[in-house]
Amino acid sequence: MKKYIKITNGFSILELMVAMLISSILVGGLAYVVSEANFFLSKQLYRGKVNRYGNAVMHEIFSTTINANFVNIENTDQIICGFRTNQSSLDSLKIYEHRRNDGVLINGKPIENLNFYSKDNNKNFYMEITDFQGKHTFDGQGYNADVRDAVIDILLGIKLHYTRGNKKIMEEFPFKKTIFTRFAAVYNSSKEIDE
Amino acid sequence: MIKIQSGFSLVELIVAMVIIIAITGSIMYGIASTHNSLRNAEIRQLAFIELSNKMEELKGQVALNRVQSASINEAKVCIEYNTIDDMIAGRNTGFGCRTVGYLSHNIKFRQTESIHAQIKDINANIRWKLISRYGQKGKDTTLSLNVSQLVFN
Repeated sequence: MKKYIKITNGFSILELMVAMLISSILVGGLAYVVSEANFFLSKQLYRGKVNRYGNAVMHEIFSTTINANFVNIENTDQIICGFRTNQSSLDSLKIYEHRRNDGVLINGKPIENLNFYSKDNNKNFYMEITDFQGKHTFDGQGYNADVRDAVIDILLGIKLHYTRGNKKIMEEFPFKKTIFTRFAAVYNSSKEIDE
Repeated sequence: MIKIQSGFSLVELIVAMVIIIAITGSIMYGIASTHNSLRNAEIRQLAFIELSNKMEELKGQVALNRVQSASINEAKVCIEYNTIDDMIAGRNTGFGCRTVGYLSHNIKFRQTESIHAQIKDINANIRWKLISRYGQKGKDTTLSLNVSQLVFN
């Protein structure tokens, strides 16, 4: 009598279907996680760029303002810092202003070594300046005039636009820097008279 | 006829599923933790900016000898505004403010031998709530700054 041994090495159609279902769920989940991680990373990258720009602008204005001999914030959307090398009139001026799609400018030129990602040059994301102004920190009555004049707030608003597929996303980034303009303490003659 | 079947047993299948669930769970937990850590780092940076702004204000008052109040305890401030309009309007509460903090400061006069100058020590700190594992507001954290300001008479 002959003996037959049947060895099943392959997969049945049912096993193959189950395997395909599990693999597609796994691959789908993995693709979702990767795309979410990718979007999250891109978003953080864009946000980091806005924060870096805003903080660098604030630092630039701060380091100029504390060394200036004259600071004027009375003009709308303009901060004027004046410098002098002797007791006579001012030698030079540094004027900070903004253009919506060009960022903050010094004497009409963009700040050196600082990238403003404008709408014209960037497709995936771009920045937009919505507000730039200086104001007195202590505004209104009840504050000493010396303190009111010497302490100022610089305010900067940046909008970040980016896309996710067809969806347009916008985020706002407000920046504030309080600056004690040192010249007010050094050249303040009224303080001595009051005391 | 002898039939040999080489498939997976039920136990093997369950073990594989448990491993897959554990790996997926750890990935999701890792993503949530990273998100919270990033958010906390972001708020910490904003809190530091708010605190340094306050310190600049106090330095101005001390240098000009016009201190408005020598000590304030737990004044409500906004660490993170929603929009620039909220920041300009100073909306510290409600929808205008995303993250609230509490600022305290203390200005102390330091005794010196000099008749031409005086030193004032300014201590300021800000307290806010960290974001916990589940995205809720968790335990308090505090950031402090100490500055000594020299004032010439």
